Amino acid sequence: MIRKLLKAFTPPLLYSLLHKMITAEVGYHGNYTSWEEALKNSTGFDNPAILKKVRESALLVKEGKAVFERDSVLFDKIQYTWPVIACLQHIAIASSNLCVLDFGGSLGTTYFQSRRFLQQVPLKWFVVEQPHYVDCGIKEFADDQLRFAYSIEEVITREKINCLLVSGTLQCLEKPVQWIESILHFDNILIDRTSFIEGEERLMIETVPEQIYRASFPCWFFNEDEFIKHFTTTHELITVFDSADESTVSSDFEKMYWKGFFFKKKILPA
Amino acid sequence: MPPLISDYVRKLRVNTNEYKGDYKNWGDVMGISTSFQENAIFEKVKWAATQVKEGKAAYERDSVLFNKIIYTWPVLACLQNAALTNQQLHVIDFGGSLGTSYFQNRLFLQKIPSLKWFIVEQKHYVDCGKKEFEDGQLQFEYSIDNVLEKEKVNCLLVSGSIQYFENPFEWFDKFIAYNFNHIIFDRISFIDGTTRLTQQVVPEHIYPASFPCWFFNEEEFINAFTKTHMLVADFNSADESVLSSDNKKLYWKGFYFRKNDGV
Repeated sequence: MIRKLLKAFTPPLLYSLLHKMITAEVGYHGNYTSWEEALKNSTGFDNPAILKKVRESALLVKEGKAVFERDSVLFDKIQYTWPVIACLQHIAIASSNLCVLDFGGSLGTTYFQSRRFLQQVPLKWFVVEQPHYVDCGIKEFADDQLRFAYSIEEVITREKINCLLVSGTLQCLEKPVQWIESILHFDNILIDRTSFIEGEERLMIETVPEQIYRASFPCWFFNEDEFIKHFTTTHELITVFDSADESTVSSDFEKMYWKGFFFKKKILPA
Repeated sequence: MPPLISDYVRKLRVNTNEYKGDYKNWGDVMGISTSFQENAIFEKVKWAATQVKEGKAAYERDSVLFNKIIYTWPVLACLQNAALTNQQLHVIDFGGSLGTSYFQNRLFLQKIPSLKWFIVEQKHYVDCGKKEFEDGQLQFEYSIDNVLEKEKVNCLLVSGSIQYFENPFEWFDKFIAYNFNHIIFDRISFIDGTTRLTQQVVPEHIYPASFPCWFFNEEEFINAFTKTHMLVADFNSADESVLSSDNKKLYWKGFYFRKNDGV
């Protein structure tokens, strides 16, 4: 109640600052000049405790004991990501099948979230993840449709992928631009939950609340115009959409927000 | 600016619709309203739809123009799902104006093997639609029966229209009797409490008008369809929720029902 009142009567910028002071441990902070420095100041991505928590939640979803999980948090009904489902179905309609490479797709969060809408489609869904996720995925989650692989190359040598999906992952890569340049050969690129900042790109540290799992890691906030330009030489931007995550404000008052994009490869004149 | 104040300013600026009263019968509200027949409304809608058709604007809704398409992602996803299930999308857009949803979604629907979009509307909309807006995919008809006489339809879309009918529950029964495989609702008005009939007053900057508007009880609404159809998904519509004068929450939602036999 006090929090609600405070929020209602306080200008958002000030509230955001107050909120940060109260919950200094959680959220996004810093402006790091190098990945190494940011990594040194965080617990990192490969903390086995994260996988343990994610696995427990994902198993409940797989076994039908829970409806949906994201970042290991369980929900009592599926939180559909409608733009992602619409773009996936668009590809499925155009190609008569859907073969997704879900880069950083955890233990199948988006697959389990979307599969009700993809039942009518010949579907293969490959998650490429960190080795300990893939080990666990192969052992406990893989089935006829959902597979796990250690690298993009491993998948594309045996399957014709018609959609690269990257949800909430790009900002966690050490060299995101270099990585983007390496994936421009895909016809359809669907990006969701990517973090942006008004102003210049910056490297921060994200601290995940303890009730989710105790962890912190480096996180890029991109400049949106610059980000889009990395794709538009080879791809057409079909649509842009807001991601579910709420926007917030950095300690120096820059707006931080999350968005999604659907890029389709340009057909170059012969 | 504190949110309470900015909310208030935004409401002043947007000047949203008002929903007044709790009426016992349709005639009482009609007696004090301008109704939908108003020619000025139609002319404004027609002008806006023409701008979209001619590519001078990207999108219109309720005659308000936008310079980029505002996708209604859940509706698009549900339409695509109907198309994937039946390998075609033959949709009746009940109360679909001069093609708002068609023009909004057509970029994403072009690859569907067979796309036909039938708008069932009031007579003067259909007259105008037939003359000025029809193309190979978009057609206009005076009734659902007229469409079904010539075409097999697998999807019914009802976006923001059924609450403006005198007997919506009779229409729900009709929708079920037509046996559509897929029924998609969007922008349907609900109230926390029992179903209520109000008078909607539209802000002048959109078009000066007032007319009766139902607010349904959500559970009662869903129950009208779940004997024959399964509820695949529900979603919040873009319209923001407001409070009635007696502090009941008024809100707008969408639903996707699919026929129980799974086709």
